Amino acid sequence: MEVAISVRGLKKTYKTYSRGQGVKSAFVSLFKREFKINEALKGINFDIKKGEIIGLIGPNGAGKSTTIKVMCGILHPTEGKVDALGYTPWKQRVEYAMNFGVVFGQKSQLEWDLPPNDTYHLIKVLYDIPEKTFERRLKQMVKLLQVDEQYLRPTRDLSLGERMKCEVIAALLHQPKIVFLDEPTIGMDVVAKKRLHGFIKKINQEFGITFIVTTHDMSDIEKLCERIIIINNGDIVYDGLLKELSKTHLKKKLIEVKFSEKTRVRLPKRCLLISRTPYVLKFEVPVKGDKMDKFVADLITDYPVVDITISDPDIEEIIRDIYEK
Amino acid sequence: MEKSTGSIYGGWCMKWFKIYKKSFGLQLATWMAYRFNFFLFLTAIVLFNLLAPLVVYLIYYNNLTIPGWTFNQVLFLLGTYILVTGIDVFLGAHIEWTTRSLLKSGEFDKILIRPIKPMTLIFLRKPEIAALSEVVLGIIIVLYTYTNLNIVFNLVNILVYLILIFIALLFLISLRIFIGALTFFFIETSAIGEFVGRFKNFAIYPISIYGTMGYKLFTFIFPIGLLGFYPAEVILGRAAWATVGLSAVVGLILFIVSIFFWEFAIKHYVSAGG
Amino acid sequence: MTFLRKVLGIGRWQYGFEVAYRFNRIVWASSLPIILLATYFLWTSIYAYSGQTIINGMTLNELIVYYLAVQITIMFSASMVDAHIPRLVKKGLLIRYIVKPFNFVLFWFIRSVWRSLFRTFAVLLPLFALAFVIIDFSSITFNIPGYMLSVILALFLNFFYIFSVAMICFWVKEYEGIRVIRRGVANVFNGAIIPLTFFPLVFQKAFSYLPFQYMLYVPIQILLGKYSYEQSITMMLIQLMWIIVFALISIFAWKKAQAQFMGVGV
Repeated sequence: MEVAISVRGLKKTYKTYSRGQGVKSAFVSLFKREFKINEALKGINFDIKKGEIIGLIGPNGAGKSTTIKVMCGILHPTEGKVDALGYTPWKQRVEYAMNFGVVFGQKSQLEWDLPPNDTYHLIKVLYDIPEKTFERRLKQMVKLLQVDEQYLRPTRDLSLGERMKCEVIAALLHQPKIVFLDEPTIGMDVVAKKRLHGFIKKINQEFGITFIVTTHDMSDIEKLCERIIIINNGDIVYDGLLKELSKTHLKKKLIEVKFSEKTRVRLPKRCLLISRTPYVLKFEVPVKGDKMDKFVADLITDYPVVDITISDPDIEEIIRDIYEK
Repeated sequence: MEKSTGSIYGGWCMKWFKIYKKSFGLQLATWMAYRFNFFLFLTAIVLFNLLAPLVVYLIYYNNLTIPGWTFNQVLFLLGTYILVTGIDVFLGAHIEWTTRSLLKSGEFDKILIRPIKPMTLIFLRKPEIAALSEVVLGIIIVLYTYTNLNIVFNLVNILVYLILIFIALLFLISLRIFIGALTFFFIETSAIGEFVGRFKNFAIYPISIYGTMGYKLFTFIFPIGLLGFYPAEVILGRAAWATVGLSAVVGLILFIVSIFFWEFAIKHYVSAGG
Repeated sequence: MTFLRKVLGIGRWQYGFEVAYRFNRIVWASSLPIILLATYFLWTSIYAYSGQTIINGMTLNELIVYYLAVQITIMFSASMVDAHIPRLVKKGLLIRYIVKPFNFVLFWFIRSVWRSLFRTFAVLLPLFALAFVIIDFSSITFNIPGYMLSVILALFLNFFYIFSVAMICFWVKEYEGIRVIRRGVANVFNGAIIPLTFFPLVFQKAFSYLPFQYMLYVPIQILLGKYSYEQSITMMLIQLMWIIVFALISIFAWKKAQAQFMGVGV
């Protein structure tokens, strides 16, 4: 599979000037400025293949938006190489811009007082989209995302969810090869999210567009991303398939036991009790521990167990564990 | 173990003092961060207000005259105008703006809930500090030109002058109240506000230049003559008291009417389901 | 062909803004005649009292035409870049424009020109409605072609000058104060508040070395036929020279600005 973006040794260091607190330091800052060095990215490497939907996740301040901005070409790195479709994004910004689309959840691409449709027509013209093609694509996407009458109203009149859908359309009109989605489902209700997920998957399958999704929303990750990259403190802490994540990083399992009679079980030390009723016991078990296998086996033989369910903790917990590492 | 009342009280004072010091320090630090921009803004306002005086200066520099007025007299009028409009912006600008933004964002209902009258609350919220520079400039010009006018000091005239300024202020604020009240009906009134504001500009020159029609208009109907012309005439000792009095009365009436209109507008707003 | 399509597309887009704010536009356009009217009364009384028909080379009628021309010329040649760009930078919305495949400076220039066209068109009616009442147009020989050429040069000059100053917004926290001062200074030195011939000679000489009078005063003087043919050509060449100066500054400043925000994030 071909590579869409390759990143090697990407480093970004910021100088932040601190003023400190209080009157005295404000005064001092007039003459001499203290600064801190902030290593937002410490030299990361990864490849993104064409047609992938990849999730870029990490806690706030981890370096996600810095990475995205570098890949968009609006930030240049302190060190490192980035090759996106044959371009170095920050050096060939205008030509490269034809090939990507971007949706920033917090920063709208649409003008507040104008209908999204006006911006769509501007995009049509700036990206050299033929008239018929533009109309066809617009009609198709508007229908799929069900914003048939919303896209003609001023952006300020739209709900957050409707606006995000219109933003996504704006990013896709010129059929770019890569689309960056930064917090695309923020403020959306479940139904709208589902619709957007379906839309993105459809577009991805039909046109082979590469999507890079930054998000804090687990449903986005689970529904869209096959592969995820987790960034924490400027380093990549995980780069691989989502489903492999549980296998390699699994530290505990959830066990739920149902009894036929009121039973009280004493849990070994390494188990974490989650909830206990006379008939149902829920607890966490660390994965590595042969004593655990024995304990569970004993549980079934020694107690009137009607049902036992062993499950993985959800992705969110796994990822949170990785953050905290 | 019991602490003495004194030490409890003392501890409380210390805590309060520490909090106050911290927040004041923070404010000051923030202020210093923006002080450059604030200073720039003040300079900008002052320079902007000096444009009309500049025009007048150049007129007289070229040996021309505005009929009936010497250079110092015109400047005195201008100074009064700047002073009055400055105070108006300082106290009243946000009657319009705040009302508008509160209504737009739907937050006005918060104000209605409080036991204080809405107008008082808006009025007290946030004076436009930057406008103080206009006020100071106006005062400087007025004082400077007054000394150059070589008039006999007349306490009565000065008192009338101050009263007229006060009424002029009431008039200007009444305009703001009118617009503010209109906002309850037509939320987007910023354009109307600006339009009305432009008419004030006629007052920078003596209203006698506008012909009989203009003169009557600006004295008895839209009394901007009060903003500079009449106070100046009073100080110069050549005011026609009847005219001045009548103009002042018009200004007062407009102020009272504006308050009624405001009350009416609020009633309408509340009954319409806010 | 595609470039023309883009220019028209930007125009269509800008028109959307004009329509969105049309109520404000109409009211603001209606207020311009007020300023003209006040000026008319002022100068009528001054001329009448002075007993002169010509002051500093202008009759009363010409002077009123002068002020009318000031308003129209400013409408046409001024640019909104330093109102819009700093606000976008402050809100972090510059991203909207720099991810588009179009040169930033060129985009804002085209947008600015369209806005000038729309605005001028919008104010012509109310202004001329008043103008035909108070001005006797027949007594002046107007140099319309010269004016048009000069005013187009003024358009370019204004844009690059304002754009250059606007670039400061990338280095300061708050640009608004600078903007107000910039406008105030420009409006004094370019003859907007009073014809430059009213200033002391020393100042007039100084003004001729500054770019401001070439943004407004010069085109109007050409319109009123105050320059000979050779003088007009010289003036326009000086306009061209200043355009080149500010165009170079603009491009250089934009490059620096890009390096700045691409280093620290936008």
